[in-house]
Amino acid sequence: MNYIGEHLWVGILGHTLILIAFASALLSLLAYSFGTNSKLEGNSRNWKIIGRIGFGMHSFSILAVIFMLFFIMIKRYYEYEYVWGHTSDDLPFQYIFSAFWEGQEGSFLLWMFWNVVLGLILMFSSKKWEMPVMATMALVQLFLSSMILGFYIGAGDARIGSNPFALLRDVHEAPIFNTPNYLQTVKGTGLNPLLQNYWMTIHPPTLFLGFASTVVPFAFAIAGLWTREHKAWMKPALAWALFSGAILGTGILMGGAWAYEALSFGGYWAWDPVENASLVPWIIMVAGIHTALAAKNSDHSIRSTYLFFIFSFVLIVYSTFLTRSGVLGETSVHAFTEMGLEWQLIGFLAVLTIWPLWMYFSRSRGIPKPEKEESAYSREFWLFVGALVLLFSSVLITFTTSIPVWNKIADGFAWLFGAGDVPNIAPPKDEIEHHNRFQLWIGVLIGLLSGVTILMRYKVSDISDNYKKFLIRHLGIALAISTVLTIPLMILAGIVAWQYWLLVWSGLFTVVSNLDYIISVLRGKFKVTAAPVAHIGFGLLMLGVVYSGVLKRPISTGFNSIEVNDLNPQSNKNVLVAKGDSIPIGEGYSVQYTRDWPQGNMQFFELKFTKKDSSGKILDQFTTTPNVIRDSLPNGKYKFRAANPNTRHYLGRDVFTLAVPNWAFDDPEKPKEKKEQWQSHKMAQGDTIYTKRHYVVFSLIANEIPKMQGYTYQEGDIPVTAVLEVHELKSNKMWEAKPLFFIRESTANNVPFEIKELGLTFRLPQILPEEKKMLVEVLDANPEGDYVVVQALIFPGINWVWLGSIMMMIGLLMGMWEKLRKVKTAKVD
Amino acid sequence: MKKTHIIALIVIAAAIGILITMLGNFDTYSNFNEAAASKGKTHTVIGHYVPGTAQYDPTINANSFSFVMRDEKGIEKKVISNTEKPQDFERSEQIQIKGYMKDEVFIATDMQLKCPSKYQDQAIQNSKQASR
Repeated sequence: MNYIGEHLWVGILGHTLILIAFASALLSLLAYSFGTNSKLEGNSRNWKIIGRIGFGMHSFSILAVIFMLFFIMIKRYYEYEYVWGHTSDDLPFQYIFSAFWEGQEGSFLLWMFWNVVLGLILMFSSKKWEMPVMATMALVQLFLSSMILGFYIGAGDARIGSNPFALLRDVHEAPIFNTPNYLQTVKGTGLNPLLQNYWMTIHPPTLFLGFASTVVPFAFAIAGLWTREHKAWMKPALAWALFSGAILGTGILMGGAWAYEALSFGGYWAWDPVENASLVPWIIMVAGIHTALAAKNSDHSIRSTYLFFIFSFVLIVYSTFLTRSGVLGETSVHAFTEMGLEWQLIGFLAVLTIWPLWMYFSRSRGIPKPEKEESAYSREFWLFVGALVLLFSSVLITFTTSIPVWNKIADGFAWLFGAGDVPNIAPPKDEIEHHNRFQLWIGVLIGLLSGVTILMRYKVSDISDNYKKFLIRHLGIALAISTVLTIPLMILAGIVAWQYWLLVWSGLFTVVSNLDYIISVLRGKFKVTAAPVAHIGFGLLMLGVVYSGVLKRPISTGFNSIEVNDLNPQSNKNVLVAKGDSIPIGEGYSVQYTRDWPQGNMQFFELKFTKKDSSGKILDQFTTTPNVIRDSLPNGKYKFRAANPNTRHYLGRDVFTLAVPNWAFDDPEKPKEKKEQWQSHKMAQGDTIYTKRHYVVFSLIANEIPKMQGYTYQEGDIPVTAVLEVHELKSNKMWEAKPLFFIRESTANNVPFEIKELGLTFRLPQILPEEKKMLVEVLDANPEGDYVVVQALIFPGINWVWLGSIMMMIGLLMGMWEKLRKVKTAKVD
Repeated sequence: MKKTHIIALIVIAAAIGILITMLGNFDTYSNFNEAAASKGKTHTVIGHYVPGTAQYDPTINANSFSFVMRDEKGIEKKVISNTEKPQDFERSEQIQIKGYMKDEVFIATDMQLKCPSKYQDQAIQNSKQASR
């Protein structure tokens, strides 16, 4: 069939470019590998040139593929499945980027984009390391481009990679494709409203740059093993590892900030499997940075540095497998939807684990060994211990995160034991509590180690009197100050659990000790303060974690569960607020729902919070405007999609607020059977009646000929209008309703009067002359009234979390700067 | 033996110890019968929503949401949680609840929904069914 209006050339060109990208990555890999091997014999210039051409072609193709995918998305060519599945006509332009990396194929392209950028930088900057490093880069690109290859094997559904340029009519079967002009009726399904958020435009690119950058220390480690130069590779690798740590950390942090600021999770970290999957490689990278420092300054820890840098990247690939293969299933809130390429990912993971490990074990004999064992008074010894603690933390997190994988493996081996059904392990009951219980001790240990180790010196074999005095004095000061600070802080906060005392104390200890190090050892030389800045950041982060975690509490405790009154009252955090009402909530606050307004596909709600003391004096007053995203349905109703919080920031605490309107709880596609009930009242002039939120005064009867919609005067009509004053119970606002009764040709008629704003309609069906009354009927369209369910949580000390984490990232970046400067000055010398 | 080796061994021993205690603490998935057999103890149950049974009226109590769930063995129990009604609850394919039995009611302290992909186009899906 010839379809009308399709733009097939883009897809054909795009897919061809993907094939070229794949082939040229293979060419580059082979050339750089042969070059590395033949370099050992001498002549490798030609291989290097071919490798460069291959990677250049690959880079060009990837950039062109990205450009073309953007092009069809901007043009809204819905004949392409990716465009149809991720955009729609009404999607604002700034979210095209978000839509681009919402899907699996687009996010792989984003990853490849950063690898191309990093690869081109490495190609021109890594000098003698170029060939082995670029061989690894090309290998990774080969695997990544295979994920979007869209190459079908045989006649079935077996395929390698998923082509982003796949056509809608090839992916879906539907009768509309029997008509040549189906494109006229196809509309895109749009971007998930949860992702229509500015965080979605900055968080994924940063995180993927972090993901991509972990390959560089990995590639240098491989290069070190490959060329058997077991020390020299660490210099450039360390600068890149610091870069990677800073960027990946920032990406993770942005995810936390997004969850906290814009999602309704009510926190910044939930130990979700997907969060853990990117945290663990970061922890391993940080461990590698520390052993690399030890290895650079002594001959110790070279082996562990190799393994840490290798595993940081391997864990990135593992996390890709976890989030993209669908194995996490119901255990995570933000796993990608399945793509059916699990085995391809497992192959990717297997090659990138086995190859480096084989290299490592086959060549580890040549790794130089220090002649002497490190002394317990040396810095390198404690750096290594610290790295082990970080490894320990990663093992614990990974073990729990991988529960679905353990279950899959157990199911796979079930036949071996003859058991048909292996009981599956359930993830922990309370994941946050589970991880916190173990990671708290890691936090304490890291606080203490980073506070002590910073004062140690490299390569001391024995403790001299001078050194001993120095250590005792400075550690003593740090211990004393941190203890003196901890006690009043914890008492004031009212925290009793001793574990938290310990964590705050160790956090303060590292803050004091590292500050002391900046002042008394570095003498304030700002340029070399990278490590202490990062350590102080860590200490402050621990403070923030304890304060915001332990003291986080809802102030919206309006209800107690009637049926389940034995549940933790902390989770009774919803309170119902009717429009206009002011409801007293916890801690002296009251909340008022003043107004709401639509804006695009969002509805905003204005909440006024007032805090009063016991004598009624106003202590604080602020307004927040949380909103919800909704779809407008053809039947005029809204379909609730997502609630966005709005947070009031203070220096010492945040107040997080969320509002969900009444209609969000109804199923808009199955309309609630609304009983239209007219309330009848017999009223004489001057009488008053009440509705839910108003009182109505029958002020007068007007006999003049009314001018209103739905009525035109005819000769002989007898019109009677009742003038009703509608007063709001809670304010002085007044509306007028003028329902009409008229007799025409001796039959009674009436014209109802609606006050849209209030949802009230009045009518006069009957006049009762003998009682001198009128029958007034009222219809309340919304008898319950508009209301929102409000959540308000206080997060004390949340700013310590942000400040601390940002300082850690700044510390890492400063470290990278320092290393780069040293590399430069070394060249000048 | 080197000091680093000793410390590494200690770390490995501690890791194994903690992992074993962790394993002991992990539970397998249960069903309503098992939960009813040990009332008050926390269980994780997977099941499906029985249509038409969801009850949430914030005007009465914004912190009480209840529904009937059918577990994988086909046993139906009323489930109560003190949260608001989750978004798209009616369309969930599968529900995972953690909590405990109290009398004949399961008190859920945590709930995870598995929802169908939100990007499936209704029109294409429906027309696909109609063509059959």
